[in-house]
Amino acid sequence: MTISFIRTVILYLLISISLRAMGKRQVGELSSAELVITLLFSELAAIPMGSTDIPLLYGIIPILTLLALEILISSLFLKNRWVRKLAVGRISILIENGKINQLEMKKLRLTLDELLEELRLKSIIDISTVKYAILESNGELSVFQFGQEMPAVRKDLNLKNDNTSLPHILISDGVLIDSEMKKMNFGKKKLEKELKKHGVTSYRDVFLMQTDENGRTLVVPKEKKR
Amino acid sequence: MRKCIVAILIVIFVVSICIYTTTFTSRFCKELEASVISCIHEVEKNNWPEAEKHINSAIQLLDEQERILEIFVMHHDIDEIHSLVFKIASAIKLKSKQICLTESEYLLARIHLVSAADHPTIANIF
Repeated sequence: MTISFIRTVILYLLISISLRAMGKRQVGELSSAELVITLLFSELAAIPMGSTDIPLLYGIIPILTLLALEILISSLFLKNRWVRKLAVGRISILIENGKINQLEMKKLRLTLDELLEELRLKSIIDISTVKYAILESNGELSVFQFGQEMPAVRKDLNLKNDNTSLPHILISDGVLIDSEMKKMNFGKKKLEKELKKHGVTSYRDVFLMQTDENGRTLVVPKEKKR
Repeated sequence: MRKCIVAILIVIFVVSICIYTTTFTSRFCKELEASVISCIHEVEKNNWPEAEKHINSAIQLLDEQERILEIFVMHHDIDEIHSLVFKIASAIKLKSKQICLTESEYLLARIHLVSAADHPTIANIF
């Protein structure tokens, strides 16, 4: 039992590090290769985790090999477009300039019902308003409507630019983040003043405090225990 | 670029481990096989003290290498080799020629399988 426990910890750490090493892409949509790798990791780890008769190396070596292969192949994708096309596939333009590409849909074995369903999921009920519909290599459908069908943006209404800036978190769950305080030139006096405005005496009672370059500050006090 | 270098290092590390495990297992199997064959020859000549010497050297080799071997080889294979060696040792003590020779042949077959299992041959890969 102890052996199973120790093996589980080792394999869990190894897989976590491997998934982290493969990059942020794993957190978002998975390509077919990435999905295969993730599934394989779990299978490979389960074998020596459950059976102490099997050497731990029988799980570690394949996991490390897959990790190395994934990094090398994804680097190759960056450098070589042809390799990427071969492995990941190409995009398919299903609607071009408002015209449905029926031949492309036949090739993909995609029915009209499925296309209309995807459009509805993107809040588009009228197919005639779609200028481009592109089926990406990961299976997602990207839709671009005709200009007059798209919602207006600030530019269209001649509105002044909104100076949106990235907020910086100064306090997170009662912990002061010194590096962000320095970045935003937020001294202790300024902090105390700001907290007082929101009826908070100590930063330890703050759940979230953020500020941006425009001086906008948000303070969320911690909820009191009932 | 850094990740590529890390990936290449991982590949080199993995390949090195594979080469090391194969050579280590082969070397161990060869040494054990030599001891068992010598033991068989002595048993055939009814030279029990010499046979016991050879089987004891096999036991010693197993005791020395077992810990490292268990990292690379299936544990039940090692357990089986271990039990066969001790069976032969008991048979030699009892001076039972038939059991000695039968178990020795079986042990040689197991050693050969363990040695062959790790080699990157077409049969093993497929």
